[in-house]
Amino acid sequence: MIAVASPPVLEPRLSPEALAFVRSVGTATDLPAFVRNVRAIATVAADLEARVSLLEQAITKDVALTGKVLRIASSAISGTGASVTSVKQAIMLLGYERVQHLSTATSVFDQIEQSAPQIQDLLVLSVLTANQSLGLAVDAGYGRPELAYLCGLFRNLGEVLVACYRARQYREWTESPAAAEPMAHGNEAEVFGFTFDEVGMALARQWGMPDELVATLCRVTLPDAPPADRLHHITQCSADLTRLTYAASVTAEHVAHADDLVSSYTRVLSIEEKKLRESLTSAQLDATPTLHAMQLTLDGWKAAREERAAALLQPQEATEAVALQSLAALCKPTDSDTASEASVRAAVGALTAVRQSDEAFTIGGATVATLDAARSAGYRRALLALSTEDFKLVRGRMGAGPGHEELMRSFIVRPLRASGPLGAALQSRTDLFVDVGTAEGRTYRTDRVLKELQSRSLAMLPLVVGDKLMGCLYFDNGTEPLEVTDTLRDLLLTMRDHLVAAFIKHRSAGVPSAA
Amino acid sequence: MLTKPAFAIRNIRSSATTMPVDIPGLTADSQVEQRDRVLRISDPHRGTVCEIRVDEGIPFVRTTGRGADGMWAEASQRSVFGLFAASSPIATFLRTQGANPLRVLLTDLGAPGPSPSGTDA
Repeated sequence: MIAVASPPVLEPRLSPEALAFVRSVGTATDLPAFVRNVRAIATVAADLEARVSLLEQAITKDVALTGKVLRIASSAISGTGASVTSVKQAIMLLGYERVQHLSTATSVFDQIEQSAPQIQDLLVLSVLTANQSLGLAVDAGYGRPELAYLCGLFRNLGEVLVACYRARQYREWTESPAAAEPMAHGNEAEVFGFTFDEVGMALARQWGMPDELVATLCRVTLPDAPPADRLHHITQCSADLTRLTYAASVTAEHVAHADDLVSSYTRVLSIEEKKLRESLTSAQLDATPTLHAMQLTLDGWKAAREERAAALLQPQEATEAVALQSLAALCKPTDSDTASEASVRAAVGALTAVRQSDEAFTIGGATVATLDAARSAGYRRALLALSTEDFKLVRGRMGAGPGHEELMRSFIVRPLRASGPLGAALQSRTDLFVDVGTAEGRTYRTDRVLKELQSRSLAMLPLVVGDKLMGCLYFDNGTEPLEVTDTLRDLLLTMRDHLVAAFIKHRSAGVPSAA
Repeated sequence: MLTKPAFAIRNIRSSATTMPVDIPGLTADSQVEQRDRVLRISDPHRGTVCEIRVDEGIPFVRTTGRGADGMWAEASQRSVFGLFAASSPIATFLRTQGANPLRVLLTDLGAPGPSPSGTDA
């Protein structure tokens, strides 16, 4: 963790939400184990020889990192005819500090790249914006092109930091339609309570970045005449054009906006339109060395990004169509239905119709219908439980049936194997239909929550969106056994699937869906 | 105006090991020469040579000659920003070698990305 020497003085104009975010930056605790270990070397080993030995041990555990360190060391002595064959040799050649920084940086970014492609996207966009700024500065006759490069590189500082420190919320935001709008500047305030620009500016100022750079971290209105603050316009033009050009899914609207921008900035920056468009192409080439240092090529990144965007859209559309088609048969009453089966089947049919109509299909409506269906199936109490913000607990939120208040209070499950059979089922996303009184249900008698609830027949159906456990449905029947036929199980599982679809719809509308 | 010292983040983190080193700016007497991936800046008055190179987007610097230790150390963000702000030829060298001050800043912050549990930092 990074300690802050003294509490920084923050801008008084920041909203409470922005202030909270600004204060949270730099307090990460999820550093890769490698980084923690390497940073601790200085405190556990007094002399350099011991430190070198510990650093060597840490690096050689990672084959990829070992290769990278050897490659860098070899390049440092290229042309001498010598070769570097061991990490220790590389440390001696490059220096302890250099290898330590290189290896920790690599480890941090490996973690980011493996777990958060949206951060990598932002970093690539930053590099492209920086090179676009550089090209525009040269073409517009701005005297400090490298400063323009720096401003472009940091233009998205606020968004990058939000992506790092509010990762889950940021991912949900990027998957929302509001974020996909071609010129969606400031829309994020509705989700985060602040704009990316305001926290970026506050932090840049707090860290003492150059004033000229800080001034370019907010939007500026296009003037009618050539402006005095050309650097600001160069940076903004570059950031906007890069966003539009490299959007995950470029639409006709993106192209139209880009044309408008080119037209406007041609006038504002007094650049020929042809040159402005050419600067986009040259920015791609100029970005190569920096992207290379990130082990990326522009084409490879674009392909991966488009693939992710397609994966986000297509399966949902396809799944929705297939799901609704397959339900048609399930919704039809059959002569063999028992009374409870017929009742639950009718509920499935009704909710399917609502889902098809789309407009009235909400989490609230789907929850009420599902809990009622569980009661129709014979369960005495029915509960919707939701994951807490940190996904560490699943707790009761909405209930139905006599005694559901107590159920809501008592149903608190940690979705981990160690917490008991219910926790294990939630962790593995397993649907449960259990009669605790039978031999098969014996395992569940030890569960702390079930002991408290005194449930005999129970069902627990996890609610999973993407890879996230949003919560679960829980139904029970007190001390009486309940026979749940296969048909009833299928129907209840279908109600659960409808509810999950309502969560997905809610999430795609741009509203954070965690409890 | 905010009062947190410039690039305190880097200095705090590095205080457990070694402070990052400033890349000196060019003077009228500086002699600049690029050898492969290393930029050498000679200062005949001081009798020192400053060498700069970029590995994995991180700028490194070392000084050899009179009174210098000749050890490679990470370049301070403050001096890197100063070079870019001045649009120095050294900044041009850093950029063309792939230096990425934004990535370095995130590394210093230990930018976490999502935790395995999917929770926010």
